Amino acid sequence: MDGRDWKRKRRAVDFQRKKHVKFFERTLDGVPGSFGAQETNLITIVYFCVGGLDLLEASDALKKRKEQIISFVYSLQDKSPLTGLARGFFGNLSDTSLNEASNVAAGGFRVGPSIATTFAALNVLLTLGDDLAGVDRSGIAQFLKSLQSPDGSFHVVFPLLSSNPSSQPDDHSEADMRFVFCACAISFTIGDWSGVDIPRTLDFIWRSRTYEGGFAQCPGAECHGGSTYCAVASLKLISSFLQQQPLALPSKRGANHILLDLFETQNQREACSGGGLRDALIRWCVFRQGGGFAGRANKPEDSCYSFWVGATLKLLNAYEFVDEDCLEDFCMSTQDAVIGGFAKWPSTRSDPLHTYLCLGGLSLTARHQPRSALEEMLGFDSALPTTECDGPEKMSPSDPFVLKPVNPAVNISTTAATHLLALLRHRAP
Amino acid sequence: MHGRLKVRSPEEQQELVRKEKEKKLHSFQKAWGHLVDQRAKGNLSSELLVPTESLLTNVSDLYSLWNYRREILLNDLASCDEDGKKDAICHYELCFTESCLLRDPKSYSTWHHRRWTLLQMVHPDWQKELGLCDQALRMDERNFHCWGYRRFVVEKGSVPLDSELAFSTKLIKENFSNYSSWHYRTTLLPLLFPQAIPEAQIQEELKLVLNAVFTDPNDQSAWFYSQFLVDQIRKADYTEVMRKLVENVKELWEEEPENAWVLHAYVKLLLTNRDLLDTVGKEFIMDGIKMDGIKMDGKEFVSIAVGKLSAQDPLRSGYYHSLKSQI
Repeated sequence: MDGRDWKRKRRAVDFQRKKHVKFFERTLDGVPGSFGAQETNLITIVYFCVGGLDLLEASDALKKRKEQIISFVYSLQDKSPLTGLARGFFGNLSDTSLNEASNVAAGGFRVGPSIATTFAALNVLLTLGDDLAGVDRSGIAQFLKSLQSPDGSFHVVFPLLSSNPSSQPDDHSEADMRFVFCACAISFTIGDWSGVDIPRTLDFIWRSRTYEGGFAQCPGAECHGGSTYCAVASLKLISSFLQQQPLALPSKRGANHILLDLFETQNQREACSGGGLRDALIRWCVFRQGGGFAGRANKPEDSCYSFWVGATLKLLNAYEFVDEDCLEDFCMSTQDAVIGGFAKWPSTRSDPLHTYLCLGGLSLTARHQPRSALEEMLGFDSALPTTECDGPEKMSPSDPFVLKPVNPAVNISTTAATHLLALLRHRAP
Repeated sequence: MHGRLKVRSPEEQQELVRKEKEKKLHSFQKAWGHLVDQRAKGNLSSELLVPTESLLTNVSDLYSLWNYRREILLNDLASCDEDGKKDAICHYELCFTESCLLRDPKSYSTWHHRRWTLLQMVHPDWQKELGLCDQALRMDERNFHCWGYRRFVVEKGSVPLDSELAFSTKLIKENFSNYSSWHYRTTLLPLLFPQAIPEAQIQEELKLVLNAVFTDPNDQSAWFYSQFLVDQIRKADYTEVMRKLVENVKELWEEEPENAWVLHAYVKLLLTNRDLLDTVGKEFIMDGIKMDGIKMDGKEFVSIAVGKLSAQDPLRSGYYHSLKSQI
């Protein structure tokens, strides 16, 4: 056994799977009340916990809470009978219960649901295997439509004074790449893209690309790991829709050139040289790694970028450029061995967001995927890159360190993504 | 979510902390519930600015609450008959957002609200806003919210772009590592020169970059900025400038043969300039040794360089090897 293998085995031993499961369970059971002001985005915390338990394959923990959580999520759906007004999911009950008492005659003053909480709510439902039958899909598409800004980006909450003709885009909440991704992921999930003006969205995404190769939150800003993920995942989802093909992880041997086509078209528009836009993007991502990944140049590494940057490389079919050993080492250094979970940095307190994203980031490495189970879970694209065969020693499926892979385009596990695809196929005419 | 140092407190301490948190939570929920209720009833009276303020002071990114505040303010502003009164209302918002930013300088919502406030003013003081940006950047030169806000102020306030370029140069000279100030130039230069950046300006930029990389070849800020310059040089077809740049980088590499940043930049330049790659008979030297009787061309050089890069920077060896496909 060489030093590398010994390190891998050591990391497997150090991985506190049971503690991470308990961390998520405690967080879920502490709901409501334990989050202070985060209460308004409670559904987002539930998403991290449910998603995290799914990646950890803690099916018992999920089964125990499934009914209660699904019922909680549906209770957040905006059901107010205001004619012509859009639907979505609130962040928490305190929003909805008061809203139901709202004065209809007041003409629409309300605490709107947010695009981010709607994204989280749908992902929780998918992860728990719900069939989304209770989701008002056309209402949500309308909601998205009302959130798109003239520049192609999306706002986060329902515009204020929607009936006010002189209301300006700036009167509304902030709009940037985070919510572009939410809009695309939501549209993909509900199988209805009528709420998204795709050419305008694409225009915003490409205008937000920087000379560095990545994507910023909006045109003119520095490119950043989070916004780069949001842009690339959005391109992936849009291209899947445009080509009307099911979502699939890219494969070296596979036919998934959809995303690459979009890059190629843009290459020609921008008259790029020396490898093109995709290469520049890969280069930028690859230079974010210093052990773990950082979100920008000259910034410290942070465990959540193991997902944001890792998933971007996965979507570009360039994950082979990641030094998986170094990444694993860094992620493990952020493990909180006392209360479970993972933190942003070593020796800091863990939190649900970093735990979920760090696990997601780890799950993208070849080492965490028992080969046959992966093929089974992917289903729709079983052609794996040849290097997987020559890859590092695989841990057996029952190893505590093995994680269920996350689907990089929609940020739910591959089983949840497979479930989503089945729902979409079932709905298709 | 912020990183906080782990502190293990005894049980009594934990109980006290828990009780305090619960108390804060109840008062938050009560205040929040009251505001949601009032908004649902369509109440836009300005006395409601006070409770929104106290909630927003403690938690920045409550999107709906900022929206509500803007609704109330729009209502107030609409009923103002004097410009002075309008600006006084806005001035209060500027003070309020400034205090929020002191506590949380990275709140998307707070910067957004400040931006909105400036747009409502009859006589906004753009110089003062630039001053706020200067202050915030002194605290954190990488705060991208602040940089975004600065771009907004410069645009709306018609701040002279060459003074902003000078500002960026000043920051870079103080600290070559200031990635954001290098980045700022990539938005300023196309605005200053919408057609093409003149050769003289490119030379100035290159001087700045080469100064930085010769001083500290390990800092990635200048190297990434150089990519922007290379794109501009290529688009404008400044062949002599490009040739000189390649020569400069080659010189630096000969001084720093073990530096992966320099070698990578050199290799990228060769790959961008096919004429250099394809030139036969041009001598390239590797490891200070001229291969006896053998003249390497650019392609062979890059092939060997890729191997060297992988050894110098093993984390990215896969990516370096992929460069061979561009030869």
